[in-house]
Amino acid sequence: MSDVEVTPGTQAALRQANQQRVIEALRAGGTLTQAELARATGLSAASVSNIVRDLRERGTVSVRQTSSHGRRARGVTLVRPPGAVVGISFSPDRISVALGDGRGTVLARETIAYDVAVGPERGVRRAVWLTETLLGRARAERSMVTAVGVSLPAPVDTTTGEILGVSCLPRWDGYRPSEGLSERIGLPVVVENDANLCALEETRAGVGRGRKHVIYLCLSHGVGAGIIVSGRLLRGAGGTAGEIGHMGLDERGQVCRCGNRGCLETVAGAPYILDMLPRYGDAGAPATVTEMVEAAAVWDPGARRIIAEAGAALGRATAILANAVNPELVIVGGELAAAGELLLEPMRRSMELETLSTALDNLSIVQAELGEEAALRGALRMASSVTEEPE
Amino acid sequence: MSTPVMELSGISKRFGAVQALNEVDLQVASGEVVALLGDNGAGKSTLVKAIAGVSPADSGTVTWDGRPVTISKPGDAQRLGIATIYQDLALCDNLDIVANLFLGAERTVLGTLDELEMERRARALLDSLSVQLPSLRVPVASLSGGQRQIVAIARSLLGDPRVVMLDEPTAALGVAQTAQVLDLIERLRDQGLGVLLISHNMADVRAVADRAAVLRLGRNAGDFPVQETSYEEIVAAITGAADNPVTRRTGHVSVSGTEEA
Repeated sequence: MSDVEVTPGTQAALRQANQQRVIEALRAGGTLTQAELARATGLSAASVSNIVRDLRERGTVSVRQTSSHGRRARGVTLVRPPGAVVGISFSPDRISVALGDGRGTVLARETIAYDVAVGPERGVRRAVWLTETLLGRARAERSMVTAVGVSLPAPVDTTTGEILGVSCLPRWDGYRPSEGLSERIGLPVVVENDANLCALEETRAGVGRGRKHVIYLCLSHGVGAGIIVSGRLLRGAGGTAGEIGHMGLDERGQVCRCGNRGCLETVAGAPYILDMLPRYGDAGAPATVTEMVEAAAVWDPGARRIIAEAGAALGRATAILANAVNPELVIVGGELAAAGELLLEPMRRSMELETLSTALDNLSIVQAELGEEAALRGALRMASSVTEEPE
Repeated sequence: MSTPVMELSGISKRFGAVQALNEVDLQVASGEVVALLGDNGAGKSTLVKAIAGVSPADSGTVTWDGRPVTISKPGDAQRLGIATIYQDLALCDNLDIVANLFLGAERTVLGTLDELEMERRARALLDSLSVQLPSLRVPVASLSGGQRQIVAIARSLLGDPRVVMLDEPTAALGVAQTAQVLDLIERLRDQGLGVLLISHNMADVRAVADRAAVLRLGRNAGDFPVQETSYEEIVAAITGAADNPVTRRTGHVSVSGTEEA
């Protein structure tokens, strides 16, 4: 820390060691009050106060008035380059928010259960609450945050920022989440489809590292794909590229919420496959895809059959994509992907039947690595890239 | 906004030399969440106690559904349909959820407790609030802070109230638990109840409240539509940063304006 050599065992050496402890505590804890610093380091309140004064004079830390448990307190923060970012990930049944430092590290995160489908106003209001609460608990100032990245389980129009058409959030149709959020949070907001963010994140930091031609399948409430061609995300003219959930596969199948019949989603989307489960009386069938996957892993032949059929249908849909795009890697993510080979094996088999053998030669199908973190981390990364690119 | 269920006007209360409430006005409509904000000692708790009948006001009028009423003891408030959940929740840790819900209002059949009927009603009530609790027969001591808050709120709903007053319901709760309590407040509003929410947490207020009524030193210091008001404006009203004669006069105009609306 200091450039002056000190003799071991002297007062000066002790002071320097104590300073180092305070800095280590701040590095681990973000912003701490002086009382918390004293507890964390075991130093007396008076020594902490002296050390903080010295550090402040040298510009190592910043100090500001705050309150802790209703009392006045001094919040101490290490001065570091600004540029914190916030990532928000909406799922139909929950909201996650993370605070990141702009280089991919997650500093704090929280998830709450919330019925996001109830409507955009409420969903956005609650997401803003979660963001404010997270920032408050991490003692981070809003002014430290440069941008907010948002992941939504719905296609987003690339030019207007509107939520498009049929998605698992029907009441969000036509809503512009970036406007609603940025008005309330007071920060620039960028919004992207969850499958696209997962695809980008898995190719940067997950199982698809270094690959340039990748299809990411997001198997959740709906079925979506993020398609990366030559290292770039394929968005399409309006932003709906990759909405493979509504590929028609079975003209005698179920009617889909989109109005067509036999879409991929009717055999692989969460609400449809849960409906297919045979009922065994009161004790009941699994209520979530995760429970269903667990049941299948143990034994449940009904769940296994449904997962296998979902895999076969996914294989047929992916075969069409593979013939068109010729990817080197297909990554399967989302809750249903946890079924592993129960899903992937039938998927490979049906792909073998319907994909050009030349397209198949260099193609592997793997399970996603980052799980549900991918969307949130992708949102953080998108937010930090907003500040890098000049407007 | 529909006509208010509960309307207080000119409520004053004095403790010896201290004028705790000075001509305070407040309205709560059905299906509306009103946040009651103010610094320590602003008179929030005194006002709640006056409404609940625990410590009646010295002067002022209370109008309920347009009719003037007097609240001089807790029973009066309960009969009108005012339920209050205090910060300490007043739950019995050693009793299970059902017993806590029906504490003091136990159902009996032939002189013994009708456990079946009570459990059935408890389940119906909690289902109507979409509340998930592990089992209704576990002692309340084993519940989390958020779940205890939810049980306390649910208990107050057994009397079919029309206005629910919550004193700091989210203080000392974790993020996920606070979110559950906020969900419950939204559901109370959806069911057409009026909610008076006392809170120090501006994020919570901005997340669920429709209006924010601010008290400062025992007086009204503003009434804001939460969605259209900035955080800073409300904080300024709480701390009195906007408290000079000029802004008070302009502030007063906007306050009476919202009252007429």
